[in-house]
Amino acid sequence: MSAYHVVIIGGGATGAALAHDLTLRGVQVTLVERGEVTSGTTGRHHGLLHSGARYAVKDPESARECIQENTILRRIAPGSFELNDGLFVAITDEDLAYYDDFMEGCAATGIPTRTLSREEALRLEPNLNPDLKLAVQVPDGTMDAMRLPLRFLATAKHNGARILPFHRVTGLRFHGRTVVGVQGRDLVRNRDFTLDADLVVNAAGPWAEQIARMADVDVPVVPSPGVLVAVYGRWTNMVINRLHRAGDGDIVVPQRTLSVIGTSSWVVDDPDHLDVPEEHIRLMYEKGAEMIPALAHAPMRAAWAAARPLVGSRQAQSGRELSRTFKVFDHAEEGVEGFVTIVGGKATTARAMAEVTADLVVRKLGLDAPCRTREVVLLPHTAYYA
Amino acid sequence: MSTVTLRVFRFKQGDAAPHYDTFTVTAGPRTTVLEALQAVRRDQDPSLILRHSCHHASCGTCGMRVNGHEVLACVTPLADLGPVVTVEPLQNAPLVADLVVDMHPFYATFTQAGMPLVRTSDNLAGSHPAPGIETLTRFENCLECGLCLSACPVVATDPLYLGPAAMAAAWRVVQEPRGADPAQALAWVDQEHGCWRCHLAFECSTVCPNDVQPGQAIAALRQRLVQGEPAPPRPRPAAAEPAPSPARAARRGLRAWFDPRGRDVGYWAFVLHRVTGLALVFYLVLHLWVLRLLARGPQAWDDFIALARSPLFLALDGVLLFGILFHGLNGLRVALVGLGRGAARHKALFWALMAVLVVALLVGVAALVAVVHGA
Amino acid sequence: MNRDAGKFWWLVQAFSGVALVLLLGMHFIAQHYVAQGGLRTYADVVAYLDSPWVLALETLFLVVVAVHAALGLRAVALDLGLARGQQRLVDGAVAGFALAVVFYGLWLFTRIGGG
Repeated sequence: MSAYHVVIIGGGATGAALAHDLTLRGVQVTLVERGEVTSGTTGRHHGLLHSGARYAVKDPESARECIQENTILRRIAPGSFELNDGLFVAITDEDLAYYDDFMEGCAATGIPTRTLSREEALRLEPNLNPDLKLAVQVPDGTMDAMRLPLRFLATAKHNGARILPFHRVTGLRFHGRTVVGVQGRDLVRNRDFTLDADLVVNAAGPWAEQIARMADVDVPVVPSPGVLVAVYGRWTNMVINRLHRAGDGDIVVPQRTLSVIGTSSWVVDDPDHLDVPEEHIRLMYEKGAEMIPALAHAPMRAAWAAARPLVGSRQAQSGRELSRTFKVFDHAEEGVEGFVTIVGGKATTARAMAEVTADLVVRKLGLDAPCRTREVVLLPHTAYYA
Repeated sequence: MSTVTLRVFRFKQGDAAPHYDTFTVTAGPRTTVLEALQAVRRDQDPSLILRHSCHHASCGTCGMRVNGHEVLACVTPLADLGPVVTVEPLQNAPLVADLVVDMHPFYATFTQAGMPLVRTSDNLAGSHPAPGIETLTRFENCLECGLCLSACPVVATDPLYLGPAAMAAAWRVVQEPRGADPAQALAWVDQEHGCWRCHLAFECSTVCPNDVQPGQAIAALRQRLVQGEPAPPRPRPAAAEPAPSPARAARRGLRAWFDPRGRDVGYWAFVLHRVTGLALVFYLVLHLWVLRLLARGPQAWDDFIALARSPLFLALDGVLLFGILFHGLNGLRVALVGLGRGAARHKALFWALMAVLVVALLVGVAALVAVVHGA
Repeated sequence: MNRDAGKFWWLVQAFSGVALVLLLGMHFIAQHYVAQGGLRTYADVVAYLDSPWVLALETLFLVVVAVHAALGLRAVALDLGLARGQQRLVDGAVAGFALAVVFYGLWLFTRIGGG
């Protein structure tokens, strides 16, 4: 283990995967999170293990990341996924017209597909809209939004990382313009804390800009919330997507005995102010029922909003126009040493985000330590509490 | 929009004692307790801590007691709860701070059940599940939230008790092993502090947010152990008895028996069964003591009979009759349900037996009065 | 306690409980409802116990009550969460209680009428 100490701000999927990656590379890691781990955006996603097909046409970079990570995650986190696959269903002639673009995009990004006739699709999933024209099967899956990141954290912890939930960072510590640590409030003991660090990584997701501002640097992150609605009943076994350009209410993910309909998209300034507009809930029901008619009358379990940490211009209108890929910022380029920010991405690509970030971190620390997270099988989530 | 006063349990490590803080929040028809607490943290007191993650009752982290009931805050609407709402952490688990409890003891026991945690697949497309399997309530429905441990009267006092969540997990292994060893799971629960400690209060099933029904699972385990062929002698799984760890200090002890808030009928049946049981032991001793008069001969005994016919004695006989009838009838329920009979309808069974109690008590007292006054 | 002790004693408790519902019912009727005035006079008691059937039934009742009460006390003691050593102490104490109840009862039988 090297003497280098890295502090990660943010206990979501990105911070969790990064703690795991850096620990494997022999770096001492302390992760601080203002609430419980995965209490920000991570825990609230719809539980989709992306095949990438959703982005194959418009966002091929993100699609490629997704299918690569999908394959790696199945290997390193066995038991964390329902390998239930996904269907893209064409309901209207307009959807059907999108089919060629979709198949081309999937082929170009390396996403395996299988086209099913109306009859084949209805035999597999009898609750689908009987008007559907055809369906395409892709290797989507269902995951547990909290328990997969917990496996990264559990493994990191057992390899020596320190995980500190309920530690709110209120400022960075500087030596000149070099970041040399963090300070904040330990909310378990209600007292201040400071941590020295050779390097600080800002993995605060939609809150990344608030952290970056502590170092007087700017990261172009756009908190873009989406509403999700969980209804009672497992109406399909496979993940159901609408075969068209990604839009509102066009995905239904079965989770245990629930079905989660998602999502809408808009942009906000403060990720702590997330409304759940009534019309968005109605929209989810309406759009979801176009694919699975029974959803229209399924009783609601919960409706909630999660803020995606999208990379892009703050002039963005809805967030739909922004890529789902991720970006690492070395703030040395703005004159602040010892400070790195990682934003964007998705839960499915968290490991890849961590790999790229950790590559930069070890380079800056002058270490020669290759990434090992593609092979190391993760401990079960229960080990986080052991 | 309505205005709600939240009374929130507060405690930080190092504090001498917990206290309650009061916050005023506004609630719309859909505002949940979790959203209200988040708003408090954002706008009023950033030092408040709580656990939450998925916001749709799938992760099981936001378990807490709201007006004394164990709930998941993310699916509990605030508007239904009255003008003043008390929010407290779960019981029978070590307190970390504010509304956060330590889940380590939960998992220390839970993982010993040996249940494969997530299926590789759920009825894969084109697969043909074994007959009956599609009707199972899958244990994977368990969110690992710990509400059942907070509600259980036996967990409250017995630090070695395996508890409802872990035994429901063991029952899942027996139902559908998926590579795990059912004999191992059965051996694990077949211990003094395992399934035989349960007293069928069914508070676990009442508070479970995802219909896992741990109480019924424990009854089913007993039924299996009683009916199944004797298990071959096998080494006990390592660490089968959890150490009486710091968790012990976190348990509430006997005062849990007399805390009425949020509890359902099964809990009261349990408490009343314990109280009547102890009273009947006391009565047994008293009864034998009185019978010593028989050994003293006719005069002493017949003097006592005169005393025993006084109205005060008759009233006490009524109380005694109630104790006997309750303990006997509820005992019948515990024996029946404990062997897996009628576990699904335990509540109906309870009320039916209570109806029998009322009739028997009235008839019994009337007959007693008639007999005595007829003399 | 070996592993099966939990099951064994639970079953004993359950079945002794069921037996008590019957035995106690009979005891109540015989001693209080059939008896004139709600309690047998001394002479009645002596006559009643003269029957070997009655004596056997009342002895059975005594034993079952003692066992059920002892196991009940033990369950309450276990509720309190005992360490291993304390548990053995409780086992001994409740066994002593049951024996004391049974022998005292038997002694009473011998004293009544005969004494």
